[in-house]
Amino acid sequence: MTETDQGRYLYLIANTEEEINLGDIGIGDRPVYTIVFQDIAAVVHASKPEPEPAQNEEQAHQWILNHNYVIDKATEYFNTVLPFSFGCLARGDDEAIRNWLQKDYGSYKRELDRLKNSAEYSVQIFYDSKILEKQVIEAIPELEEINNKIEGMSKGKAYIFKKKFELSLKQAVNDHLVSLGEEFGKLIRENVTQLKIEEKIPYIPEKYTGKKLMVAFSCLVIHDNIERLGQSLEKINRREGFAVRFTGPWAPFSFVDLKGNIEDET
Amino acid sequence: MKPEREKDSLGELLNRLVTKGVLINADVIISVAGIPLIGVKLGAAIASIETMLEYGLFEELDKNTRAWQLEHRKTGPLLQENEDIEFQFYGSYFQQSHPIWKYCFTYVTNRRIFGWNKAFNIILFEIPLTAIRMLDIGKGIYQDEERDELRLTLVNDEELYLHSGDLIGLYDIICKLIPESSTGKLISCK
Repeated sequence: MTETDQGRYLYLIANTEEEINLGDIGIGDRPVYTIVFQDIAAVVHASKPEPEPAQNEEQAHQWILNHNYVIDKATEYFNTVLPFSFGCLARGDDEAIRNWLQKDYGSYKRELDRLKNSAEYSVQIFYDSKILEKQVIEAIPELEEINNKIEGMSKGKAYIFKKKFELSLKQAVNDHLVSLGEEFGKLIRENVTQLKIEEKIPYIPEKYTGKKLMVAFSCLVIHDNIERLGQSLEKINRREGFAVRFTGPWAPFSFVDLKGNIEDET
Repeated sequence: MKPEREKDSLGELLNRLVTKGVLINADVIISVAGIPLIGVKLGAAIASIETMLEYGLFEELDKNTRAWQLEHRKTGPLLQENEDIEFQFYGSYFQQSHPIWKYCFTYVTNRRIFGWNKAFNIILFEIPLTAIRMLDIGKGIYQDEERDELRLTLVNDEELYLHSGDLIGLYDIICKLIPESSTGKLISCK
C-alpha cells in the first residue's frame, strides 16, 4: 500500500449507489471517485495523509476554484449533494470512509432527502442612500419644511437646524428601510423553503459600489420556485433606489444540518 | 430576474467554501486577508467529528496540523531591545501615499508606533516617536459616517491617520510617550 492510499480529500456526500470515477477533475488533477455505502457516497480523491499547504496564494485560489468545480460537476451528476467546506482531509482508506458513512448514515440520508430538488441562492438587496433620502424628504412635509428654512437662517442657527435635520432624516430613512425590509422579506419568504440572514458579505462586485447593503440572505429554494422568486426579486429591483443581486444555484452550503436543528432565522 | 452564477468569482466562493459546508473551520489554516496557506481543517466538525475520531480518521492529522500551525503562526511582532508595548489595538490607518483605510494590529511602544500584519509577520507602517511633530483629533468621513480620527503630523510634513475604538486613550498614551526634548513639538488640544 502506498502512502497516497492513506488519506482521502473530501468534496461532498451524494445520493447515489453508483461506484464511479468522475475523471481527473480533483485538486492537482487527481482522480475523483465515489465511495459508496448502500445508497449514499462520499466523493473524494486519494491523497497523502497529511496537510499539503498551498505554495502560494494563486495555487490556493486555484484549489478553491477546483474544489467548487468538483461540487458543481457532482451536483449535475447526482442532483443532491452535501458539500464539504474546502480543505477537509480524512485519514484512512476507502474502507475507513465507508465505515464512517455507515456510522452516520441516518443523518446524511435525512439531509440528502430534505435537500432534494433544492439549491442554495444568495440574495442581496442594496440601496442608494441619496435617492432614499430624497424620497423620505418628499414624503415627510415637516422635514422638507426645515430643509427649506435653513437657507435663510444665520450661520449659527443654520448649523443647529442642519444637525437637527440630519438626525431626523437619518431616523426617517431608517424607519423607511425597516418597513420596506418587512415588505421585501415577505415577497422573498413566499418562495423559499428556508431563509438565513447573512451578517457579513465579504465580497461585493464593483457594480454595487457606492450603494449600501440593506440585507443579505441565503435562501434554500425548490427548483420549481426559482422563477417565482426571480419575479418577486424583479419587483424589488425595479423600485427606484434599490438594486438586487441574485446569485446561484449553489450547493446547499448554508443549509446542511447534520444535527437536525438548524433554525430558520426569519 | 434570473440568478447569475459568477463561476470564477473567488470572493463569492471563498465565503461559501471556506466558511460553510459540512465541516466548519476552526482550525483551518487560512488568513482572512485572503492569503490562504491551506493544509487541512480539522477538529471542528459539527456532528461527525467524534465518529471520525473514533475511527481514527482524524486523530493523528489533528496533531500534525496543530504542530504545523503553531510553528507557522506568529503571535506577536518582534520588538527591539528595551522596547515595551504601551498600547495595542486592532484598528485602521491611513497614509497619504496609499489613500485608503487599512486594518491591522497597531502597537504603540516606548520607541515607535507601528502596524503589524499577523498572517505575514510584516510591519505595515512604522513611525518613530521622535518623528511626530503634531498630534490632533479631527473629524473624518468614513463610509458616509462622520467620526473622530487621530492625525499624526510628522517632522517631514507627512500625515498619518489612525482610528481606534479608544481614540482618546490612544491620544493620551502617545502624548505621554513623545519625548519632551523633541524640538518644535506641538500638541494641539482635544
